Amino acid sequence: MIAEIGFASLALALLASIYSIITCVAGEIRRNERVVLSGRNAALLTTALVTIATVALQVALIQQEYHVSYVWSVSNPAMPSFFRWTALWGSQAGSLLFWTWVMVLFTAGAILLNWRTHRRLMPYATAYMMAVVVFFLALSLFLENPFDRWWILPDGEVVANALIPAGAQSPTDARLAETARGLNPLLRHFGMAIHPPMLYLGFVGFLIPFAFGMAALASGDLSTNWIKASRGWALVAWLFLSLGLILGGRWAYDVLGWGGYWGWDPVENAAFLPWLMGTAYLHSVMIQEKRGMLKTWNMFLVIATFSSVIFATFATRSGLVESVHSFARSEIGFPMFFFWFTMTLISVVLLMWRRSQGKLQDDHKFNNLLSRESLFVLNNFLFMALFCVVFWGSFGAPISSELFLDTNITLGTDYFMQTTPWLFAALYLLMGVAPLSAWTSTSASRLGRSLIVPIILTIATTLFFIAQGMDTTVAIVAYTIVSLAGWVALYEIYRGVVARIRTHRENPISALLNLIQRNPRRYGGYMVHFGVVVIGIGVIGSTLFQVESQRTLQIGESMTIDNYELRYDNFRPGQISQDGRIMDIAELTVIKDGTPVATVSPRRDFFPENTDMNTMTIAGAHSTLENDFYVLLVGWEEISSNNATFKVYINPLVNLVWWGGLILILGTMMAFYPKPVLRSSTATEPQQLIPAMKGSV
Amino acid sequence: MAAQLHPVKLFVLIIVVLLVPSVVAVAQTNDGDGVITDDEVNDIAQKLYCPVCENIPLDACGTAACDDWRYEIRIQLEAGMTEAQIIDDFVYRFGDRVVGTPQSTAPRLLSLVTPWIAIALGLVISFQFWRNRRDTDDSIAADDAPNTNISAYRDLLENDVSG
Repeated sequence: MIAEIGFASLALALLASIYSIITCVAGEIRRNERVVLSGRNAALLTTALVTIATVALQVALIQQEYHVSYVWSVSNPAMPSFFRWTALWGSQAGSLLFWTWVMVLFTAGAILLNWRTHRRLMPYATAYMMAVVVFFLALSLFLENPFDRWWILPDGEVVANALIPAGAQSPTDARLAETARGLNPLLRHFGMAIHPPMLYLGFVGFLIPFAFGMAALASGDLSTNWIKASRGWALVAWLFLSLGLILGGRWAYDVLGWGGYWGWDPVENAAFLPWLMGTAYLHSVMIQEKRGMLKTWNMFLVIATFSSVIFATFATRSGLVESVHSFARSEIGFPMFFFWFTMTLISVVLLMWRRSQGKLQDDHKFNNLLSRESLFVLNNFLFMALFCVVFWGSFGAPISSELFLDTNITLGTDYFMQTTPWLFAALYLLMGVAPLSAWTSTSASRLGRSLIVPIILTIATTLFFIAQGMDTTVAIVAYTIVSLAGWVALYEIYRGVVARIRTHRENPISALLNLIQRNPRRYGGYMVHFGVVVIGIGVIGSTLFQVESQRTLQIGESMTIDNYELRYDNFRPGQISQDGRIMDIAELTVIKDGTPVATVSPRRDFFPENTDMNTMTIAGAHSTLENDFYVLLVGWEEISSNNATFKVYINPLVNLVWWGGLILILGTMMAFYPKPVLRSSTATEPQQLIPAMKGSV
Repeated sequence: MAAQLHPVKLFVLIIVVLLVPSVVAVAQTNDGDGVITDDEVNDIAQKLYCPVCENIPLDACGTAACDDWRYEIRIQLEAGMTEAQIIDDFVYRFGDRVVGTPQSTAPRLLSLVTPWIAIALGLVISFQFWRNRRDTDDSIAADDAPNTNISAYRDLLENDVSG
């Protein structure tokens, strides 16, 4: 019954969303308010119906209704109940439904929050959002239906279908439970409970700015209203996408067992591409808000960001390139490619059309190469360059080599380590300079004066690193550049606090809090920059100074690596976990400077019921802020287990990557915090604006 | 002197002379320098990708096939092959996909240079675009008085229109 409810809800949602598109557009063109409102209500109804479908699938998973083929494919009776919840996005059909659900929730949020304030944009924005929803609902209904059920045909053949085939019978759940597959082992990790939803929220969130941008082009309201309507949504999407990427890194670090967190895997990169584009957009949009410039460019960026989101989804789910994420592959590749291509083409044509009408003229021109807007343009250029390099390495080279050279070029870490560090260094350098430049115009001497204190602090930091024994030129240069960005962010906050202490006679903590509350966007931005700096410190440390060694040890024997000693104490083979996995666990003691500091238990998990991917290497780690002592169980002597081979990594400062991520998230939330409405004599009133227009209109 | 050497002693001498290089060789392989360690194998394996798995470095891949390939690297190192020779051998057998960037000159150049060409092209187009627009803006500026509030005014106007 639950499958029928889910299927019917999805079918009705598809009809409601199509109706919503037609009525929103037609009502707006004919200026018929009732029709437009009907379209809006249909969009809200779509949200309710998709919610019912999602709940239905979740209930089927929890109640172990194995006659639903999706439930059978991602769960089994031995699976803990926690993973029954996360199994909702454990495979293609469920994750598509979950994706659609997140999308309709965002859509409903945008409709409810923006309908009154941005009435002119909303009908078109709703139509665009619903158009994307229609596509995903169609995928769910016709290609990847999560409500397909198992049927036994009269000739004994077993098929999965949403509707009952003639003369078919349903097998019992108990019988199906015996063969149920269970969740992919890679997904049986706490990180998987959070990483995919965060990533989906990030991806899908960019639909709202995109829809507002398209609505602005369609309606002709090309003022900054679409930016104001979508800024918060863009920030939310960026926050979740950042969180998704960081959690993805953490998951890879814990589960994939190779000692790192970013392998430049094509699917990792596919999620990184919209982040790069979205970050460029978040910076660039400020120029339009402040100076009425880069209108075409911002529109292009918002299109490109969402286009990259759809491309990333296509790349992940189609098997376009080989990746560790290949478990999500299916037959939806072509429709997704077609949708991505059509959507991007229509958006770009619409943009070009409006531009050719002269409706995207900038209000000002660039006056000065050191002005903040010029430096933001440079920032955008660097993000675009990074986008090009990452896109080429992940997709451009493999696809074009196969198409035109009849060979298969796969570019790996080697390529990315040769091409991206320069661009990252330039971005960090710019992060250190741009916040100190002023809008409109800044002289070199003024900018130089602002930089004196941060530069002194940076030099002191570099000297400190050198005094600590750092002698690698690359590391010294990298840390100097990253430190400058960090000191500028902290110095700007410090200057603000000192100014408030002087003018308002506040204590430092009150001054800091009031400063942030007064301009959350600015200081949230500095906090985000500081988070990125902390991540940078972690990445540089863990990349340039990683130490690794592999040894085979006998029980009681030790190996030395750096100033650590690792002693192999015990081996516990064949431990059976609650979820049915069989674990072979080694126990080792980590000794530092002669003192035992931790016990680590690296293990190899074996999933007997899973045929595709049935072993996992789980690291044992001793984490401190200074480094991670990360141990992998590579192999062992089958019978006695007396000898086992361990691979040990010392990853310096790796934990700063996660802490930096946390600071970045806090900073973004701070920037999202609504600025208090201040009514002062300097506020611009409509009456004040009109005389100002007289000269130009 | 040689004529006085007993045949048995001569035989022992010959055996000793023949065995010395072998003993020295065995001693060398066990003195730590000659033995191929896991780290030496991994140094090379991490520069290669598993020929059958997907984007997984050979040193991190847990499949039995990769175990065999790592063993092969060990044998090749023991046979005196250099890192470059071993990588070349893998590329010869499995193609460029086993390395992070292609080894052959043309595909390598194509891989490394193409994005920079695209970036440079983008830069040139942007500069050209900016220069053209500056000229246009200058001519518009000659006609229009400078105004800083156009966008803000438009926002208000659009909001009024939308009610």
